Amino acid sequence: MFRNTVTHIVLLIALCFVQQYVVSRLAIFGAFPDIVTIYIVFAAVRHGQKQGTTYGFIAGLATGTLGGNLGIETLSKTIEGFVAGYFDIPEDSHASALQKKRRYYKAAFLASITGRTVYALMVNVLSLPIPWHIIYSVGLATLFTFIAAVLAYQLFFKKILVNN
Amino acid sequence: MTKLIKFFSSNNAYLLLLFYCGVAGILIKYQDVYSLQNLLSRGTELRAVLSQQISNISLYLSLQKENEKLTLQNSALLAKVIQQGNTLRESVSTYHTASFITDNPGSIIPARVVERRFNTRENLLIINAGSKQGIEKDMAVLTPDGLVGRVIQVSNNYAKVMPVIHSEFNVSVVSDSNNTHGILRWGGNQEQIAQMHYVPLSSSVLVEEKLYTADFSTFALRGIPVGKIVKVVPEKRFYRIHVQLSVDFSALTHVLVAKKIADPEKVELMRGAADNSESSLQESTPLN
Repeated sequence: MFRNTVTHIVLLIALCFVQQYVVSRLAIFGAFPDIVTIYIVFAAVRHGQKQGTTYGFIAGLATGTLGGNLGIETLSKTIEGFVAGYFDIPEDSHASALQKKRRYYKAAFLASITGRTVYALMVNVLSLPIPWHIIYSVGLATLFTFIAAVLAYQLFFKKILVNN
Repeated sequence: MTKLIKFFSSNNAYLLLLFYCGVAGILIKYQDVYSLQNLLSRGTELRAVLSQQISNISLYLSLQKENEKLTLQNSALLAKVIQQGNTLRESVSTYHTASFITDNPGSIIPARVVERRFNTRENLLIINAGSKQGIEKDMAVLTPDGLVGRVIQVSNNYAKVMPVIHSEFNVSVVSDSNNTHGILRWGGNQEQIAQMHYVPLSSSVLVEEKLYTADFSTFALRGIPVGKIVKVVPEKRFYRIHVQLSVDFSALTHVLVAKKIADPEKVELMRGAADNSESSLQESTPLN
């Protein structure tokens, strides 16, 4: 259990760096996918709401320290973890692979849109008009994150979640 | 007691969320506290170190030494251009000329942009010069083309710069031929276009007029080019003026930091004036 937690935290922090130095450079119309959110969703779906919220909080602290918006990042990531936690798949779950996949996708979509909305409500650095701000900061970012979440599921999480 | 324990155990996810959100709220409220700023500047330093490593590779390919030599030459020339431009504009007044000489930027620190973010979540530059090189908060950052922004956070070897194209950036500007003053602020629609505010209809402004930083600015040296007026639209009380910025932010690699900060007494005085006017005026000019 302890080892598992440490592994998740180390991975989350590593992903925060990758997010800052690699993924955020791939911005299209100012929006980019958030791989930290995807991992928080995975952790929340696999281990439950409390763990998801805690991982979100830790990821928020790390991302905020690197990015400069400590409080806002912490708040949005914590909420993402909490929202994703509603879709957790217990270890003794008898859900089919399809049901698990749907739960994960729903969690990724809802967590991402909630996190982006919280962030967008507090930050508009490009001073975009409100409709564009919502489209770019929430809509487009959620879409990219969701696409990345689908890819991550197919490449990495499928085996872990289905064999859970 | 048992009920309380039951309540906590059955709602602990909510309580955990509440606790974490509380911590986040405290972090938002006290983000300007020194210890938190210190932590964030260390984060910036770490981020800048890694970014610099990444950008070094591309810089190596584009003749790093040659660029730095040219930047140094540019900084020397820029200091001369600013000095001569101001002297010319103020030549009618010996007093102003004399004050320019005392205000003259003794030196300009060259720096390289190691990180640039322009997206919906961040809009900033990080340069590879910090407190060790003499950079301080609120210094003006420029290129030979014009004003780039202002330093908002400094670590030992790096500094974070808020560019002109940031929603919270304001600077006092003055037009070159009509001497019309206003506040330049970026509206966010186009990267190259900003707006000049608080220019009353009684003022004279012309399309193609060049804008420079004004003496009123609390951080920028007087006479730094900012852009040129491209559109003037009269509105109810003020003009709506569109300004094409002189700096191409998409191609920034090297910048210069003007080694002069505003007189703290002046800043304090302006802050006091702004506070007073806020209470009496609904539409007040922000401190810039």
